[in-house]
Amino acid sequence: MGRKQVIDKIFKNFFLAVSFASVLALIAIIVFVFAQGAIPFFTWTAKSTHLIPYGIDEFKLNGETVRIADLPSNAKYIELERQCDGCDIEFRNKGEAVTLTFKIDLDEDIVADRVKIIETGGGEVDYPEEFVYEVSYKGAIAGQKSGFFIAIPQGPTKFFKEFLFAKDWHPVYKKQYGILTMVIATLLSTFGAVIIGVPLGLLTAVYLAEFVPKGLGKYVRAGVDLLAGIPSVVYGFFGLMMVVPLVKNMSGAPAGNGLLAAIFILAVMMLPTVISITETSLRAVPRAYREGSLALGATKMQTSWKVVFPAAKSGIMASIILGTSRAVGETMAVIMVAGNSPQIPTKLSDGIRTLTATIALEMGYAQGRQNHILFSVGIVLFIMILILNSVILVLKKHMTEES
Amino acid sequence: MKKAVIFVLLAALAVLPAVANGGSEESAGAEPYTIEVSGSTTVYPLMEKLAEKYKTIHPEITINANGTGSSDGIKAANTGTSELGMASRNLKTAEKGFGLDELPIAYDGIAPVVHPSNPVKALTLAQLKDIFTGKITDWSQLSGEKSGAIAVISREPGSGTRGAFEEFVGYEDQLVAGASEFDGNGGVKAAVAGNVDAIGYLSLGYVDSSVSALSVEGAEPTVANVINGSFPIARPLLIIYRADQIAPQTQAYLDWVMSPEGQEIAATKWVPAK
Repeated sequence: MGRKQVIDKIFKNFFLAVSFASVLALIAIIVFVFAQGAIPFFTWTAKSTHLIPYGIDEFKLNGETVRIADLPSNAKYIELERQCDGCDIEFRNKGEAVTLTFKIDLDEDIVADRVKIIETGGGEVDYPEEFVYEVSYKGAIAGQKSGFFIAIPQGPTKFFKEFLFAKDWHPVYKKQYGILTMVIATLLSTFGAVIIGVPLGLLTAVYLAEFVPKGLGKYVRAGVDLLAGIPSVVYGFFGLMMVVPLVKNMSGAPAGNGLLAAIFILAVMMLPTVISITETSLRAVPRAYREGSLALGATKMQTSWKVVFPAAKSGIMASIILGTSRAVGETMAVIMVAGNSPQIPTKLSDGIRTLTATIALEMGYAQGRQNHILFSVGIVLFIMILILNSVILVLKKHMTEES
Repeated sequence: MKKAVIFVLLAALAVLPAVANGGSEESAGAEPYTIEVSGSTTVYPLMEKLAEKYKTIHPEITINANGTGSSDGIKAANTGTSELGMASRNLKTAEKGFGLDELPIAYDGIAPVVHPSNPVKALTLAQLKDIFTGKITDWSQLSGEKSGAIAVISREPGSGTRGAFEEFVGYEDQLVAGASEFDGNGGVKAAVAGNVDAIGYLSLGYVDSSVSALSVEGAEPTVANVINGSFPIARPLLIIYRADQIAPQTQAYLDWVMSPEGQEIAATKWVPAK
């Protein structure tokens, strides 16, 4: 083997390694998102009921003494059985002996019946959030409280009934994770943006490819490329400062943040993608097509519309797919202008919350199941994009067969 | 040409590890230490101010603060991704089981805010509850001088500020459908400053002249009123950590934060804890 072949081989293997690594990274991300996002639909939030004491150093659980200081430093709770018929806690509060008795049955259908507090021994029962019971006792110092949290695990979320087709998104206290409002908001804002952005983009591209005078074309093209490079937060800021007040004044709604502002910003944001890819594919149509058409006596308009445009169909389809994907996936600009209220919009000025906005808004605040649910939202987005792409691919195939 | 390219590539490969090693050796020898802090966007401005001052006293210590949200801060402190977490709400039930230590470094009021042009200057807790749950929908129901539908602006679910505000006003998870939800105190401030019909709420540390802060139950939202207890919406700003796992430098920093010098900074816009 000569030196050149050896070098070739090295490069070949290098390219193989690079492409393998990038494919591996992609697969790893997808597997991770799916694994995380599937958790809420198959598992309980915890294996057992947790008994979390606070302000108490030592107590007796069913006759056994538990010292808080002896518990591991990262798990200051006690795990209780799934079924506990008459759990018994004894401890001393303000020097007095207190007995707390309760019953747990996780197989009970109605959530409220899963824990029954039978005797509190002078404590106050409270429900600070869903699936959590609190029994508190007044301490020796005013304002000081001690007591127990009984946190029962939440069962698997039903995918269709409690997630995809549920309307209520109350992740913090009520622990309801319905995303129907967000799916609808994402579909509506994308659809609106496509309706406005795609025709505008296609017409601009046809003009740029076929009719524009040479001098002007250079500047317009540079402008479009520049538009593509502007970070989305800048679009969002423009929308917040200009579009939102405009919508508010025009519609008379209390706030301008909403569907209309989101559609407008998304339409503008998908323009550069649609324009530049469509224009490139129009330019790639061989000169002979145009010359042939013109020679047959067709006008310039007829040529570009009936000959060049159909010949560039697959490139145009690609531009629409990419533009639509951008609208579905856009996050920052939408968060800034859409109002982010999880509701089904009835007017153009109503606030909407898209799927991407939900992930971005709540990832810093999510804990427990909400955290996994955000990954599930990611899966829904992923599947939406897959469906979108395959619909357009089928359409494209259909159209090519026709012609 | 090809030879040159390969040579450059090989040279780069050879030099890279050397550069990396050189860097680490340098930092290992000296004393600098970086304290990673993340969490609540409400505690963040206070942490920045404290860090700035601390840097002038101990230039070798860098405090790297990130405003990512209360739950994130608690999570980070629990898993150890940050040495210190910041939280602007009390720990939730599940989080209490983590066995973390809490240090209240200051207290903070939450003021309802409206556009500066709004004639409404004071509200009661009952009125606030009615506004945020959608029973009062027009400004004319609150003031003779202003009309127009109220644009209700809230923080995102899970925000410490939102949790505390909902708890004190008494409408947990009953926010009116259609209320706008914004990311962080800054997002709410921008939205209220730009909309004459809006009402939102902000940590006192964020209130400035671009919005008008309302009195609640007759008490103006000032640090003094939070201290004497007449302003009803206030919560602790917490540092979350594991006392047995933090570095001595970090412990020294926490001691300084709680010292009169640190608390003096907390007193500028917040209520000192000591």
